[in-house]
Amino acid sequence: MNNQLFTKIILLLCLGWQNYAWAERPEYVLTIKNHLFYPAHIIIPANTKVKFIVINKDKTPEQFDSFDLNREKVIFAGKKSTIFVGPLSSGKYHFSGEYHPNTARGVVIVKSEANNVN
Amino acid sequence: MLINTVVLFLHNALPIVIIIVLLLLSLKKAYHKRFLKPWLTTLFISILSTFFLVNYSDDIAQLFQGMALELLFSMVFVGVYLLIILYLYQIVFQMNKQRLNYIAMLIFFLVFTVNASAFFIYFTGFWSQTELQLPLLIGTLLGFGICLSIGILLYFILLFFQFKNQQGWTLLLLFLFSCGQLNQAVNLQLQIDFLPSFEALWDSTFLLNEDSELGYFFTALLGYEATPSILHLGIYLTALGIPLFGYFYLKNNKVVMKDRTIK
Repeated sequence: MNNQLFTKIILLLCLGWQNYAWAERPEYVLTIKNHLFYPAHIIIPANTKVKFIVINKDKTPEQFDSFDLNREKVIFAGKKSTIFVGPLSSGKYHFSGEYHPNTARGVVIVKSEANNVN
Repeated sequence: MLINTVVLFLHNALPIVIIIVLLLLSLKKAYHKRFLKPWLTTLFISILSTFFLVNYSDDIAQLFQGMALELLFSMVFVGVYLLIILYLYQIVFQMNKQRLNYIAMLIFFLVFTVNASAFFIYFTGFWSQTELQLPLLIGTLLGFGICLSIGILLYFILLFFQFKNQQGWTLLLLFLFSCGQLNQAVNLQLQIDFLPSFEALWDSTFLLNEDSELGYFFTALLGYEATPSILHLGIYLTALGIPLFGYFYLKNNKVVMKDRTIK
């Protein structure tokens, strides 16, 4: 009996986690081209977890890096990748391409009522 | 490119340097000549697996909806944490020296492969551009020199404490290093939405910026987070608490390990 109850609890937790993990998130596309981010400014809603799809159109890899967002991910040449960000409070959060920090720079602007700039 | 290479080298090589120093100091009494060959083999395998990972990382990264590298690396970080805890228990309860060396080899292999591959992805990505080869090489050499200096400094500071019969500092740093590895696993899991995100509890950037040389050092050594969430704090404290509880439980119950002999 106890074992059955334990199994049910584990199953419920797994289902809950699975629902959480695969929940739909607002998507934003970010492109790297000539070591620049397009768009360089992304407006996202406050207190919402969002999904960034980062596409690298350059012939060299780039590392999406942000200490403000606590994210770091290599985007290989000609490939795309996914990064989840948030939920964040209103404000500006800077990000850059760690391999080209002088050119590849951008800002995530978090607003209470966001307009998708994509 | 030159400065960027130095910064990236520091960022990725510091965990390797720190783990080498901590393992060297904690293994001093357990090391024997007969372990030299297995250690050299470990180094060779680590270099090979790094090149394998660098070569195939772009393909691996596309698996599981582009989350495979995060999943793989977070598993490695959790593995490093568990292995270090096991290693510390072996030292504290004076168990088998051979086992101690093999666990240390496994820790070194994992830490080396993950961190070295991150740097070499950058290095090989730009090596094909002839005009960048010189700054890449010089940057790598400069970074290597800085890391070596930091490593030597850390080694002698900890050796000084060991001479005063305070080996505890080395073990404590190793313990905190392992908890830092778990923090890195948490960050990777957050990045792929496998764990829920929370607001940062505080922002200590004004005290120590993560994006600075000292910040890199403390992130590598202790898993420093300038803006930790309740999840980071909870997991860090749990990672500290459970092994400590286990240690005091075993100590108070006077658990005698069966194989204390040196094999």
